[in-house]
Amino acid sequence: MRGKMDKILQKRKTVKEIYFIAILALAILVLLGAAFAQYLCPYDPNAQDLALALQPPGGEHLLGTDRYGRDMLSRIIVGAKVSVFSALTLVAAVCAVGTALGVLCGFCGGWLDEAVMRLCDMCLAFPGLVLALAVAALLGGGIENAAIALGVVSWPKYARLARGQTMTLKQEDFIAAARLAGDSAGQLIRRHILPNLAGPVLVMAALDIGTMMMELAGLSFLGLGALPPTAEWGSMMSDGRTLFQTKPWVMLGPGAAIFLTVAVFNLLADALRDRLDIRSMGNEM
Amino acid sequence: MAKIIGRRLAQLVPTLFVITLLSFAMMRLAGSDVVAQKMQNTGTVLSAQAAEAAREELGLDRPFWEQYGLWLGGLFRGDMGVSYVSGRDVFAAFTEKLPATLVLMALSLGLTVALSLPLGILAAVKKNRAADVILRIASFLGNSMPNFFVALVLLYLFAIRYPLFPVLSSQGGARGVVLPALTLAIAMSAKYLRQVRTAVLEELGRDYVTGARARGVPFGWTLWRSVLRGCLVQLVTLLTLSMGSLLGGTAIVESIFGWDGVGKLAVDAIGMRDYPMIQAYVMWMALIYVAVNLAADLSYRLLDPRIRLGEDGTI
Repeated sequence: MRGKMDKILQKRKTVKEIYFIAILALAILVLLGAAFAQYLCPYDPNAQDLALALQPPGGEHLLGTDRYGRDMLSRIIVGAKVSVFSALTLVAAVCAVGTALGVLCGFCGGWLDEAVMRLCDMCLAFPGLVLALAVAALLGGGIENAAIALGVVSWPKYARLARGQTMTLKQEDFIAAARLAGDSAGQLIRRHILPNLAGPVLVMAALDIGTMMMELAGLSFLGLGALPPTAEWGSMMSDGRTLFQTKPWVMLGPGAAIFLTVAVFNLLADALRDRLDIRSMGNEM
Repeated sequence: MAKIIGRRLAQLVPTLFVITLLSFAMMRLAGSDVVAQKMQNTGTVLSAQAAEAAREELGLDRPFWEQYGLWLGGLFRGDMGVSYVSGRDVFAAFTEKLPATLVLMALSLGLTVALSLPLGILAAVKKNRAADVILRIASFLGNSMPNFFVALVLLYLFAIRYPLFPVLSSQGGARGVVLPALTLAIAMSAKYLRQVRTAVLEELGRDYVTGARARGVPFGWTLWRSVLRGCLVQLVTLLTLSMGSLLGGTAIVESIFGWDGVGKLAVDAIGMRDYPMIQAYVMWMALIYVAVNLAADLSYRLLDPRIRLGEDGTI
């Protein structure tokens, strides 16, 4: 009886492990695809051919062409580079800055903690996308500016999480033991605190990749992100918006691309959370 | 209670200061100067002397803090300057459009609760059964779709393919609000459904539920009377958290559906670099956000006796 239970549990664990690896592989595949986008597209994504404008999907152009006769599939593939990497860079930067500040605040306390937390409150006093709209309006278009705008509003989440975790960890016995063993503050943070809060921070970051991709695309959709002729999914959808009634593929292609990519990263975040066994968190926004 | 409200209001003062200061500074940072902007917009060129005189008249030559003070004073009188583009009074233009946005927000919040609460409870009660799995997949899909994509798909299906609703929301009267509200509600419901499910599951795992069942209390009774009550605080927290994205989300959705609210006003203003209008939008949205957060904070105390009766003022 006991052996049977163990076997079932073991099997379930293996299934979960395989699922996790599969999702991870899928995400890596998306990243590789985005990295080598220019070698993957069948046509030059920016080559215009007005004679071939607005061809429906199928035939030579698998996903049709847009109003300038550019191949949609090639543009979607190249667009992955902008969309995926700007979201990734943004999340990495925000996560690094937020976590570093959060750990410092949690570890040192005092005036630094007070100052940084008030700064967080200030950034959080504005609803996220509204502040992003304002910053984008200030700085003008461009995907970098859109990313800065979103960065301003998203680092406090990480700072708060890291601060909370650090403050809890500081009370733990093993930190006291390490301190007694003569670890310096830097060593304590590097060897004991960072590894212990990596899990929750990583899950939050993974969840954020999808969110950031959607919000960047949203800003581009409004004309506040990537500028033409850069192939970016949000601005491509905005391009297809007026043609939607008669030529829906111009909009549906990039829309589906955003949806699928976001779905992959969300699945990854969920699997990661399961694997690291982190209870519900990252529900902000 | 009155004491707590007073303390919370006092805590708001620095926040309000920062909001107004940032909104004001944003204008200055934009490097925009009313006089130069007006010249650009109207296509006229003033002599350097005349421009200087105009600046002096508007107080633009005074120090930053003094200008801020003047601006803040104007704010209390409902004076937020005039639009660079239309020349209209910003405050009047803004308050005229605000009700439309508030209606849209209220409807989509209502729709979100109406969708996600019963479905979330259903998913929790039927954990790991067909209904739960289907709902979880639906919620995952909803979570992975940007709202402008949902908006365009809804528009295609229900305004073009099957013209049940108007394409331009502002023209359809009451029916016009349905699609924009639904768009916002779909994204939020997808998030909530999951969280309602988790909250209900957690509550169902508590001892009192088993106790009630053992005493023969009907399950439905426990669910509605006790479990739901236990989840309420969490639900209010969630609703307030999503207010931020809802306030921003209205901007995109309004401009897609042509719903004539402040979101569309702001997006148009950004396109035309109409800074006083953008400033009004950012400031008002922040104020609404702060007000909602305050209301939520106070409602916790009404909903949860543990917070109300505990040491007050810890939050």
